[in-house]
Amino acid sequence: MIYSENIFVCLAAPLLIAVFLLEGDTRRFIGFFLLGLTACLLAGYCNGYIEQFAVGNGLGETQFVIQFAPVCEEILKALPVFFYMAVFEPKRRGIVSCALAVGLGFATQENVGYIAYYGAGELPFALVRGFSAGIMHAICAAILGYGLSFVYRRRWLEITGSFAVICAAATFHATYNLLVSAEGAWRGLGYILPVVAAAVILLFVRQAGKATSGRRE
Amino acid sequence: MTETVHLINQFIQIACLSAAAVLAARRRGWLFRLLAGAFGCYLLGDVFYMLHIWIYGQFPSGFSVAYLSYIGTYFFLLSIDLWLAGEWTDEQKKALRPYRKVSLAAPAAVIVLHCVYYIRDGGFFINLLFCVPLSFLAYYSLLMLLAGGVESGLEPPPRQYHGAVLFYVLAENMMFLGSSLGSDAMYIAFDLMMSFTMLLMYRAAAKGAGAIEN
Repeated sequence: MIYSENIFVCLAAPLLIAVFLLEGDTRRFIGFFLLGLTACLLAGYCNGYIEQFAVGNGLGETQFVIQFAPVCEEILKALPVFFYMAVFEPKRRGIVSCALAVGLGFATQENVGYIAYYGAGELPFALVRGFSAGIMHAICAAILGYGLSFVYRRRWLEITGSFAVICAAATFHATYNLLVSAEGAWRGLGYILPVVAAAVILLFVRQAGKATSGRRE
Repeated sequence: MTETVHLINQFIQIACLSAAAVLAARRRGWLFRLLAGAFGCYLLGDVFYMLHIWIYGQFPSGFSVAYLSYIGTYFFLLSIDLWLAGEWTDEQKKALRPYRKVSLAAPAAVIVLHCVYYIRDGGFFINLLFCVPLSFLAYYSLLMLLAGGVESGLEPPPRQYHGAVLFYVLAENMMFLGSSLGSDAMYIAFDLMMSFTMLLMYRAAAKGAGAIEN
Protein backbone atom coordinates (compact mmCIF):
# COMPACT_ATOMS: atom_id res chain seq x y z
CA MET A 1 0.00 0.00 0.00
CA ILE A 2 1.40 3.40 -0.99
CA TYR A 3 0.02 6.34 0.95
CA SER A 4 0.32 8.73 -2.00
CA GLU A 5 -1.68 11.47 -0.30
CA ASN A 6 0.66 11.47 2.70
CA ILE A 7 3.69 11.64 0.43
CA PHE A 8 2.03 14.47 -1.49
CA VAL A 9 1.32 16.48 1.68
CA CYS A 10 4.88 15.94 2.88
CA LEU A 11 6.37 17.15 -0.40
CA ALA A 12 3.87 19.91 -1.15
CA ALA A 13 3.76 21.70 2.22
CA PRO A 14 7.20 23.37 2.09
CA LEU A 15 6.75 24.16 -1.59
CA LEU A 16 3.41 25.79 -0.87
CA ILE A 17 5.06 28.05 1.68
CA ALA A 18 7.79 28.85 -0.85
CA VAL A 19 5.17 29.89 -3.43
CA PHE A 20 4.02 32.64 -1.07
CA LEU A 21 7.53 33.73 -0.15
CA LEU A 22 9.11 33.84 -3.59
CA GLU A 23 8.46 36.08 -6.59
CA GLY A 24 8.72 36.11 -10.37
CA ASP A 25 10.00 33.15 -12.39
CA THR A 26 11.07 31.15 -9.34
CA ARG A 27 7.58 31.39 -7.83
CA ARG A 28 6.04 30.29 -11.14
CA PHE A 29 8.44 27.35 -11.40
CA ILE A 30 7.71 26.19 -7.85
CA GLY A 31 3.98 26.66 -8.44
CA PHE A 32 4.00 24.48 -11.52
CA PHE A 33 6.25 21.94 -9.80
CA LEU A 34 3.51 21.74 -7.18
CA LEU A 35 0.93 21.24 -9.92
CA GLY A 36 3.12 18.43 -11.28
CA LEU A 37 2.96 16.69 -7.88
CA THR A 38 -0.82 17.13 -7.94
CA ALA A 39 -1.05 15.78 -11.49
CA CYS A 40 0.83 12.64 -10.38
CA LEU A 41 -1.54 12.15 -7.46
CA LEU A 42 -4.56 12.53 -9.76
CA ALA A 43 -2.96 10.19 -12.31
CA GLY A 44 -2.78 7.56 -9.58
CA TYR A 45 -6.53 7.84 -8.99
CA CYS A 46 -7.43 7.98 -12.70
CA ASN A 47 -5.17 5.05 -13.56
CA GLY A 48 -6.76 3.06 -10.74
CA TYR A 49 -10.27 3.61 -12.08
CA ILE A 50 -9.33 3.01 -15.73
CA GLU A 51 -7.34 -0.08 -14.77
CA GLN A 52 -10.36 -1.58 -13.00
CA PHE A 53 -12.46 -0.97 -16.09
CA ALA A 54 -9.81 -2.19 -18.55
CA VAL A 55 -8.87 -5.32 -16.61
CA GLY A 56 -12.59 -6.04 -16.15
CA ASN A 57 -12.88 -5.99 -19.93
CA GLY A 58 -10.18 -8.59 -20.42
CA LEU A 59 -7.08 -6.38 -20.77
CA GLY A 60 -4.02 -7.56 -18.84
CA GLU A 61 -2.42 -5.34 -16.19
CA THR A 62 0.82 -5.08 -18.16
CA GLN A 63 -1.05 -4.06 -21.30
CA PHE A 64 -2.88 -1.41 -19.30
CA VAL A 65 0.44 0.03 -18.07
CA ILE A 66 1.77 0.05 -21.63
CA GLN A 67 -1.27 1.27 -23.58
CA PHE A 68 -3.45 3.40 -21.30
CA ALA A 69 -1.48 4.76 -18.34
CA PRO A 70 0.88 6.90 -20.49
CA VAL A 71 -2.03 8.55 -22.30
CA CYS A 72 -3.78 9.39 -19.03
CA GLU A 73 -0.57 10.69 -17.42
CA GLU A 74 0.42 12.87 -20.37
CA ILE A 75 -3.04 14.44 -20.59
CA LEU A 76 -2.96 15.25 -16.87
CA LYS A 77 0.53 16.74 -17.22
CA ALA A 78 -0.67 18.91 -20.09
CA LEU A 79 -3.69 20.35 -18.24
CA PRO A 80 -1.78 22.87 -16.04
CA VAL A 81 0.12 24.08 -19.12
CA PHE A 82 -3.15 24.54 -21.06
CA PHE A 83 -4.53 26.50 -18.12
CA TYR A 84 -1.42 28.69 -18.02
CA MET A 85 -1.62 29.33 -21.76
CA ALA A 86 -5.32 30.16 -21.67
CA VAL A 87 -5.36 32.42 -18.62
CA PHE A 88 -1.98 34.15 -18.41
CA GLU A 89 -1.08 34.55 -22.11
CA PRO A 90 2.59 33.84 -21.40
CA LYS A 91 5.71 34.17 -23.53
CA ARG A 92 6.98 31.08 -25.36
CA ARG A 93 9.89 30.50 -22.95
CA GLY A 94 7.48 30.64 -20.03
CA ILE A 95 5.45 27.77 -21.50
CA VAL A 96 8.53 25.55 -21.85
CA SER A 97 9.72 26.17 -18.29
CA CYS A 98 6.21 25.58 -16.91
CA ALA A 99 5.83 22.30 -18.80
CA LEU A 100 9.26 21.19 -17.51
CA ALA A 101 8.34 22.14 -13.96
CA VAL A 102 5.13 20.09 -14.19
CA GLY A 103 7.09 17.11 -15.59
CA LEU A 104 9.73 17.32 -12.87
CA GLY A 105 7.08 17.60 -10.17
CA PHE A 106 5.32 14.56 -11.59
CA ALA A 107 8.58 12.57 -11.68
CA THR A 108 9.42 13.57 -8.10
CA GLN A 109 6.06 12.43 -6.67
CA GLU A 110 6.24 9.18 -8.66
CA ASN A 111 9.84 8.44 -7.64
CA VAL A 112 9.20 9.13 -3.95
CA GLY A 113 6.14 6.86 -4.15
CA TYR A 114 8.22 4.04 -5.64
CA ILE A 115 11.01 4.51 -3.11
CA ALA A 116 8.48 4.47 -0.25
CA TYR A 117 6.97 1.25 -1.60
CA TYR A 118 10.11 -0.69 -2.55
CA GLY A 119 12.48 0.79 0.04
CA ALA A 120 15.48 3.08 -0.36
CA GLY A 121 18.10 0.49 0.56
CA GLU A 122 19.17 -0.34 -3.00
CA LEU A 123 21.28 2.31 -4.73
CA PRO A 124 20.95 0.70 -8.21
CA PHE A 125 17.15 0.88 -7.91
CA ALA A 126 17.32 4.55 -6.93
CA LEU A 127 19.69 5.26 -9.83
CA VAL A 128 17.39 3.50 -12.28
CA ARG A 129 14.35 5.41 -11.02
CA GLY A 130 16.17 8.73 -11.11
CA PHE A 131 17.99 8.39 -14.41
CA SER A 132 15.36 6.51 -16.41
CA ALA A 133 11.82 7.34 -15.25
CA GLY A 134 12.84 10.79 -14.02
CA ILE A 135 14.49 11.76 -17.30
CA MET A 136 11.66 10.13 -19.29
CA HIS A 137 9.10 12.41 -17.61
CA ALA A 138 11.34 15.41 -18.22
CA ILE A 139 11.62 14.50 -21.94
CA CYS A 140 7.84 14.10 -22.27
CA ALA A 141 7.41 17.47 -20.57
CA ALA A 142 9.96 19.02 -22.92
CA ILE A 143 8.12 17.61 -25.97
CA LEU A 144 4.90 19.06 -24.59
CA GLY A 145 6.44 22.42 -23.68
CA TYR A 146 8.33 23.04 -26.92
CA GLY A 147 5.42 21.80 -29.00
CA LEU A 148 2.80 23.89 -27.25
CA SER A 149 4.98 27.00 -27.20
CA PHE A 150 5.37 26.65 -30.95
CA VAL A 151 1.67 26.39 -31.85
CA TYR A 152 0.58 28.90 -29.21
CA ARG A 153 -1.47 31.96 -30.26
CA ARG A 154 -2.57 30.59 -33.61
CA ARG A 155 -6.25 29.83 -33.36
CA TRP A 156 -6.99 26.37 -34.83
CA LEU A 157 -3.35 25.42 -34.74
CA GLU A 158 -3.49 25.37 -30.93
CA ILE A 159 -6.04 22.56 -31.05
CA THR A 160 -4.41 20.36 -33.69
CA GLY A 161 -0.91 21.07 -32.40
CA SER A 162 -1.90 20.23 -28.82
CA PHE A 163 -3.35 16.89 -29.89
CA ALA A 164 -0.23 16.17 -31.91
CA VAL A 165 2.27 16.87 -29.12
CA ILE A 166 0.23 14.91 -26.56
CA CYS A 167 0.20 11.96 -28.99
CA ALA A 168 3.99 12.21 -29.41
CA ALA A 169 4.67 12.47 -25.67
CA ALA A 170 2.27 9.61 -24.86
CA THR A 171 3.89 7.32 -27.44
CA PHE A 172 7.39 8.02 -26.13
CA HIS A 173 6.16 7.31 -22.60
CA ALA A 174 4.41 4.12 -23.77
CA THR A 175 7.56 2.91 -25.55
CA TYR A 176 9.51 3.34 -22.31
CA ASN A 177 6.81 1.46 -20.35
CA LEU A 178 6.79 -1.30 -22.98
CA LEU A 179 10.54 -1.82 -22.68
CA VAL A 180 10.80 -1.69 -18.88
CA SER A 181 7.83 -4.06 -18.49
CA ALA A 182 9.70 -6.69 -20.53
CA GLU A 183 12.44 -8.98 -19.24
CA GLY A 184 16.20 -9.11 -19.77
CA ALA A 185 17.94 -6.98 -22.37
CA TRP A 186 14.73 -5.18 -23.35
CA ARG A 187 14.40 -3.82 -19.84
CA GLY A 188 18.01 -2.64 -19.91
CA LEU A 189 17.33 -0.91 -23.21
CA GLY A 190 14.30 0.75 -21.61
CA TYR A 191 16.43 2.14 -18.79
CA ILE A 192 18.96 3.54 -21.26
CA LEU A 193 16.36 4.96 -23.71
CA PRO A 194 15.57 8.20 -21.79
CA VAL A 195 19.26 9.01 -21.28
CA VAL A 196 20.00 8.47 -24.99
CA ALA A 197 16.95 10.50 -26.02
CA ALA A 198 17.94 13.32 -23.66
CA ALA A 199 21.46 13.34 -25.13
CA VAL A 200 20.07 13.51 -28.69
CA ILE A 201 17.68 16.35 -27.76
CA LEU A 202 20.48 18.32 -26.07
CA LEU A 203 22.65 17.84 -29.15
CA PHE A 204 19.87 19.15 -31.41
CA VAL A 205 19.17 22.12 -29.15
CA ARG A 206 22.88 23.03 -29.10
CA GLN A 207 23.22 22.69 -32.88
CA ALA A 208 20.10 24.78 -33.42
CA GLY A 209 21.45 27.40 -31.04
CA LYS A 210 24.75 27.47 -32.94
CA ALA A 211 22.92 27.83 -36.27
CA THR A 212 20.86 30.74 -34.91
CA SER A 213 23.88 32.57 -33.46
CA GLY A 214 25.78 31.95 -36.73
CA ARG A 215 22.96 33.57 -38.70
CA ARG A 216 22.92 36.59 -36.35
CA GLU A 217 26.65 37.16 -36.87
CA MET B 1 7.31 -14.85 -44.12
CA THR B 2 4.83 -11.98 -44.21
CA GLU B 3 5.82 -11.03 -40.68
CA THR B 4 9.50 -10.89 -41.66
CA VAL B 5 8.78 -8.75 -44.72
CA HIS B 6 6.65 -6.52 -42.55
CA LEU B 7 9.46 -6.07 -40.02
CA ILE B 8 12.00 -5.35 -42.77
CA ASN B 9 9.55 -2.76 -44.09
CA GLN B 10 9.41 -1.15 -40.66
CA PHE B 11 13.23 -1.02 -40.58
CA ILE B 12 13.30 0.80 -43.93
CA GLN B 13 10.75 3.26 -42.63
CA ILE B 14 12.75 3.96 -39.50
CA ALA B 15 15.93 4.56 -41.51
CA CYS B 16 14.14 6.85 -44.03
CA LEU B 17 12.27 8.79 -41.41
CA SER B 18 15.26 9.25 -39.12
CA ALA B 19 17.20 10.74 -42.01
CA ALA B 20 14.31 13.02 -42.93
CA ALA B 21 13.79 14.13 -39.32
CA VAL B 22 17.47 15.01 -38.92
CA LEU B 23 17.42 17.05 -42.14
CA ALA B 24 14.16 18.70 -41.16
CA ALA B 25 15.50 19.70 -37.75
CA ARG B 26 18.58 21.29 -39.31
CA ARG B 27 16.58 23.54 -41.63
CA ARG B 28 14.63 25.17 -38.76
CA GLY B 29 11.58 27.33 -39.62
CA TRP B 30 7.98 26.48 -38.72
CA LEU B 31 7.32 24.22 -41.72
CA PHE B 32 10.23 21.90 -41.02
CA ARG B 33 9.59 21.85 -37.30
CA LEU B 34 6.04 20.67 -37.90
CA LEU B 35 7.25 18.21 -40.54
CA ALA B 36 9.87 16.91 -38.12
CA GLY B 37 7.08 16.49 -35.58
CA ALA B 38 5.01 14.51 -38.10
CA PHE B 39 7.96 12.30 -39.06
CA GLY B 40 8.90 11.86 -35.41
CA CYS B 41 5.38 10.77 -34.50
CA TYR B 42 5.31 8.26 -37.36
CA LEU B 43 8.71 6.93 -36.32
CA LEU B 44 7.63 6.59 -32.68
CA GLY B 45 4.51 4.69 -33.74
CA ASP B 46 6.57 2.31 -35.87
CA VAL B 47 9.14 1.76 -33.14
CA PHE B 48 6.38 0.96 -30.66
CA TYR B 49 4.69 -1.37 -33.16
CA MET B 50 7.92 -3.26 -33.87
CA LEU B 51 8.97 -3.52 -30.25
CA HIS B 52 5.56 -4.84 -29.23
CA ILE B 53 5.76 -7.58 -31.87
CA TRP B 54 9.31 -8.48 -30.84
CA ILE B 55 8.62 -8.55 -27.11
CA TYR B 56 5.10 -10.02 -26.98
CA GLY B 57 5.03 -11.81 -30.34
CA GLN B 58 1.86 -10.04 -31.48
CA PHE B 59 0.28 -6.65 -31.85
CA PRO B 60 -2.37 -5.78 -29.25
CA SER B 61 -5.96 -6.14 -30.35
CA GLY B 62 -8.15 -3.07 -29.95
CA PHE B 63 -6.68 0.31 -29.00
CA SER B 64 -2.93 0.82 -29.17
CA VAL B 65 -0.66 3.79 -28.48
CA ALA B 66 0.88 3.24 -31.94
CA TYR B 67 -2.45 4.33 -33.44
CA LEU B 68 -2.30 7.45 -31.32
CA SER B 69 1.13 8.16 -32.73
CA TYR B 70 -0.08 7.81 -36.32
CA ILE B 71 -2.98 10.12 -35.48
CA GLY B 72 -0.39 12.57 -34.11
CA THR B 73 1.26 12.49 -37.56
CA TYR B 74 -2.03 13.57 -39.19
CA PHE B 75 -2.47 16.34 -36.66
CA PHE B 76 1.05 17.66 -37.36
CA LEU B 77 0.35 17.59 -41.11
CA LEU B 78 -3.01 19.24 -40.53
CA SER B 79 -1.25 21.93 -38.49
CA ILE B 80 0.91 22.76 -41.52
CA ASP B 81 -2.21 23.21 -43.66
CA LEU B 82 -3.91 25.32 -40.99
CA TRP B 83 -0.80 27.47 -40.68
CA LEU B 84 -0.84 28.05 -44.43
CA ALA B 85 -4.60 28.75 -44.36
CA GLY B 86 -4.05 31.24 -41.54
CA GLU B 87 -1.88 33.32 -43.87
CA TRP B 88 -4.63 33.81 -46.44
CA THR B 89 -6.11 37.26 -46.89
CA ASP B 90 -9.88 37.84 -47.21
CA GLU B 91 -9.53 38.22 -50.99
CA GLN B 92 -7.69 34.93 -51.27
CA LYS B 93 -10.35 33.25 -49.16
CA LYS B 94 -13.03 34.58 -51.51
CA ALA B 95 -11.15 33.28 -54.51
CA LEU B 96 -10.93 29.85 -52.89
CA ARG B 97 -14.71 29.48 -52.54
CA PRO B 98 -15.30 27.57 -55.81
CA TYR B 99 -12.71 24.99 -54.76
CA ARG B 100 -14.18 24.41 -51.32
CA LYS B 101 -17.21 22.42 -52.48
CA VAL B 102 -15.11 20.24 -54.79
CA SER B 103 -12.65 19.61 -51.97
CA LEU B 104 -15.41 18.18 -49.79
CA ALA B 105 -15.26 15.09 -52.00
CA ALA B 106 -12.01 14.02 -50.30
CA PRO B 107 -13.32 13.92 -46.69
CA ALA B 108 -16.56 12.33 -47.97
CA ALA B 109 -14.52 9.49 -49.50
CA VAL B 110 -12.54 9.06 -46.27
CA ILE B 111 -15.74 8.92 -44.19
CA VAL B 112 -17.36 6.38 -46.55
CA LEU B 113 -14.26 4.18 -46.44
CA HIS B 114 -14.16 4.29 -42.63
CA CYS B 115 -17.85 3.38 -42.51
CA VAL B 116 -17.00 0.35 -44.66
CA TYR B 117 -14.14 -0.64 -42.28
CA TYR B 118 -16.49 -0.25 -39.33
CA ILE B 119 -19.17 -2.41 -40.93
CA ARG B 120 -16.63 -5.09 -41.90
CA ASP B 121 -14.39 -5.16 -38.82
CA GLY B 122 -16.10 -3.15 -36.05
CA GLY B 123 -14.01 -0.89 -33.83
CA PHE B 124 -16.12 2.27 -33.79
CA PHE B 125 -13.80 4.28 -31.53
CA ILE B 126 -10.60 3.51 -33.45
CA ASN B 127 -12.28 4.22 -36.79
CA LEU B 128 -13.55 7.54 -35.44
CA LEU B 129 -10.10 8.44 -34.11
CA PHE B 130 -8.58 7.91 -37.55
CA CYS B 131 -11.48 9.27 -39.57
CA VAL B 132 -11.68 12.77 -38.02
CA PRO B 133 -8.11 14.01 -38.61
CA LEU B 134 -7.81 12.14 -41.93
CA SER B 135 -11.00 13.82 -43.22
CA PHE B 136 -9.78 17.31 -42.34
CA LEU B 137 -6.34 16.56 -43.75
CA ALA B 138 -7.86 15.23 -46.98
CA TYR B 139 -10.05 18.33 -47.30
CA TYR B 140 -7.25 20.86 -46.82
CA SER B 141 -4.82 18.92 -48.98
CA LEU B 142 -7.22 18.72 -51.90
CA LEU B 143 -8.20 22.39 -51.47
CA MET B 144 -4.59 23.51 -51.50
CA LEU B 145 -3.70 21.14 -54.31
CA LEU B 146 -6.46 22.60 -56.48
CA ALA B 147 -5.99 26.22 -55.54
CA GLY B 148 -2.59 26.55 -53.88
CA GLY B 149 -0.14 28.76 -55.68
CA VAL B 150 -2.85 30.34 -57.82
CA GLU B 151 -5.16 32.01 -55.34
CA SER B 152 -2.83 31.99 -52.39
CA GLY B 153 -0.28 33.90 -54.46
CA LEU B 154 2.61 31.82 -53.16
CA GLU B 155 5.36 31.15 -55.66
CA PRO B 156 6.59 28.54 -56.29
CA PRO B 157 3.39 26.72 -55.32
CA PRO B 158 3.93 23.87 -52.86
CA ARG B 159 1.50 21.79 -54.87
CA GLN B 160 3.75 18.75 -54.94
CA TYR B 161 3.71 18.81 -51.15
CA HIS B 162 -0.09 18.84 -50.97
CA GLY B 163 -0.24 16.13 -53.64
CA ALA B 164 2.11 14.00 -51.54
CA VAL B 165 -0.03 14.55 -48.42
CA LEU B 166 -3.16 13.60 -50.34
CA PHE B 167 -1.44 10.46 -51.62
CA TYR B 168 -0.37 9.71 -48.06
CA VAL B 169 -4.03 9.88 -46.95
CA LEU B 170 -5.00 7.62 -49.86
CA ALA B 171 -2.22 5.13 -49.06
CA GLU B 172 -3.27 5.06 -45.41
CA ASN B 173 -6.84 4.23 -46.44
CA MET B 174 -5.70 1.59 -48.90
CA MET B 175 -3.60 0.09 -46.13
CA PHE B 176 -6.68 -0.12 -43.93
CA LEU B 177 -8.58 -1.67 -46.82
CA GLY B 178 -5.82 -4.24 -47.27
CA SER B 179 -6.05 -5.06 -43.58
CA SER B 180 -9.84 -5.26 -43.78
CA LEU B 181 -9.72 -7.56 -46.82
CA GLY B 182 -7.04 -9.68 -45.18
CA SER B 183 -4.55 -8.94 -47.96
CA ASP B 184 -1.09 -8.76 -46.39
CA ALA B 185 0.55 -7.90 -49.71
CA MET B 186 -1.69 -4.86 -50.17
CA TYR B 187 -1.11 -3.78 -46.57
CA ILE B 188 2.68 -4.04 -46.85
CA ALA B 189 2.81 -2.37 -50.28
CA PHE B 190 0.87 0.69 -49.11
CA ASP B 191 2.75 0.78 -45.82
CA LEU B 192 5.99 1.02 -47.77
CA MET B 193 4.47 3.63 -50.10
CA MET B 194 3.55 5.77 -47.11
CA SER B 195 7.16 5.85 -45.96
CA PHE B 196 8.41 6.95 -49.34
CA THR B 197 5.57 9.48 -49.61
CA MET B 198 6.90 11.13 -46.48
CA LEU B 199 10.26 11.55 -48.18
CA LEU B 200 8.45 13.11 -51.15
CA MET B 201 6.68 15.46 -48.75
CA TYR B 202 10.01 16.57 -47.34
CA ARG B 203 11.48 17.09 -50.81
CA ALA B 204 8.47 19.09 -52.00
CA ALA B 205 8.39 21.15 -48.81
CA ALA B 206 12.09 21.93 -49.17
CA LYS B 207 11.43 23.13 -52.72
CA GLY B 208 8.63 25.48 -51.71
CA ALA B 209 10.09 26.42 -48.36
CA GLY B 210 11.67 29.64 -49.53
CA ALA B 211 8.32 30.91 -50.66
CA ILE B 212 6.03 29.78 -47.88
CA GLU B 213 8.26 30.42 -44.87
CA ASN B 214 8.41 33.92 -43.47
